[in-house]
Amino acid sequence: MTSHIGAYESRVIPSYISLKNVSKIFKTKGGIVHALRDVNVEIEENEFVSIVGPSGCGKTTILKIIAGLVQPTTGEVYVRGDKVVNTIQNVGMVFQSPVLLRWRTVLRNVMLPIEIRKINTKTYLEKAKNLIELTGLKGFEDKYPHELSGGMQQRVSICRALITDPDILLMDEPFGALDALTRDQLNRELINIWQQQKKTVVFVTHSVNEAIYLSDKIYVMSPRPGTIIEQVNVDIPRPRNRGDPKFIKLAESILRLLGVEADA
Amino acid sequence: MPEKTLLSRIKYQITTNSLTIATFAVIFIVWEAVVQIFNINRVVLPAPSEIAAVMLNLQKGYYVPWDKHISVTLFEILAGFSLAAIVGILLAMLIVYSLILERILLPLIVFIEVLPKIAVAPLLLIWVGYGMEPKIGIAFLIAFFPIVVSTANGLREVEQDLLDLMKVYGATKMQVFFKVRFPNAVPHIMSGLSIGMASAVIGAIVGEFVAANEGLGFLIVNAQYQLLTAMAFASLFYIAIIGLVLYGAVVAFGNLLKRF
Repeated sequence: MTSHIGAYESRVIPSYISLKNVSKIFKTKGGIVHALRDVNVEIEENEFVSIVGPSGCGKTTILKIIAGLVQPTTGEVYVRGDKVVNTIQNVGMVFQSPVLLRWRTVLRNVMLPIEIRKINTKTYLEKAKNLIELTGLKGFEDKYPHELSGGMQQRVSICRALITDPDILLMDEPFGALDALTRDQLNRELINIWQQQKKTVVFVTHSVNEAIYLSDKIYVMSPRPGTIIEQVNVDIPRPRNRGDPKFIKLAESILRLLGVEADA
Repeated sequence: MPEKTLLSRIKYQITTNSLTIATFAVIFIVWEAVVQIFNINRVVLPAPSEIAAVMLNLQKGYYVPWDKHISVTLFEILAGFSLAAIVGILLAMLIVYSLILERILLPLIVFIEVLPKIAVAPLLLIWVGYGMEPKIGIAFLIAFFPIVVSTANGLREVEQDLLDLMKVYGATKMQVFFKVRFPNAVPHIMSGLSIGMASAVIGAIVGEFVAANEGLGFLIVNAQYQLLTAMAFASLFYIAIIGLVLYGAVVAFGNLLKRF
């Protein structure tokens, strides 16, 4: 642990998660890909923040940089006041595909992070069952992933992300592969969970509607090289209604920022 | 998906199995009829009835100690296959985990694979003698390649997101291997093993063709010298039965693993 007292640590760290002038260049066989350029992001504790942008704009790279899975080419990243040099601790991740282990039951998939950390399994078993119940999967504990629908599989992966009770949740288009009805339902459930157990959520999506429904703050990105073109604060009280004129107006202004091709 | 009832499952088994049995029955009946009606020389093509008699030692004139020859060939196959399974899976792990070892080992493995094994057999005879060892060696050489390739593919084929997840959870390399890579590779390993088993049967017989004084391959060569065509066919059928049973055993083992 680094100390924050003393001359060397006298910098001011205002945010829970903070990216300062982050750029990322990937070297591939086809040449150099400029994925991110001068990205500045400030996320407060317990804030729900979305990043929207066209496909391939580097949204996922931002999440991976926050998690410490990818190192920025230039710029600095701070999480909970510490500079990120390696994978960060106490974080939950959810991807577009549920990435469940197909040979494990629902319950054992949820317990995977606990097993890896070799912490007391018994106390967490109760927690896992509570989470499974909270996400409407009660009765499916002993089913295998292939026996569940896509929406249910994604619920399992959310349980897995929550089992260690992380204070940061990184979500990479978690509902992108689901049908509209399931997506709306999971949006509602996610907001419920977030309101019950306060967490800092960074949510990547290319759905403007989803971003407005969920977030306190939205970062709008440009196409590659991805950079933040606008920060939008959503001042609509929850629960939000997608038919609300304020909601629609905000959606229209964000879509305008993204250009006509962007999907709603 | 509706749950299959026991009755419907039994029905399904009977219909599929009876189709297989009926197919073989028709082939053997037509074969028998052709041989009898056209009075075909039994050195050219013996009737199935004669082959069956030889297989069960019911014919007059000579006796074949099948149990001895079958157990020799079976042992060669199983020894070669087991060796190939152990070495193959270990090599695959080394290749997947080390780029340097991959660069060293992969060309060697491919080099061995492209050699015609029947041409290697005389060398093996010089090195390890005329017993079961060279047959086991050839069975091993043929069987290990599909096992290495399938296992390596299975160990590699893990979603990047899953590996990222394991990293974020602070998993060690060992944990990633035992909790993700290896179980993920099991279906690939099983398909490699089933091909390897079929290859090991070929390897053992090839070895016996080159030089042997026992085993089913030796019996075929021997039958050829003595123009005992029925004995050659009988040996062939025993080889086929052994191959089917062993292949079926590997597949059944794989299906059993799927449940855990």
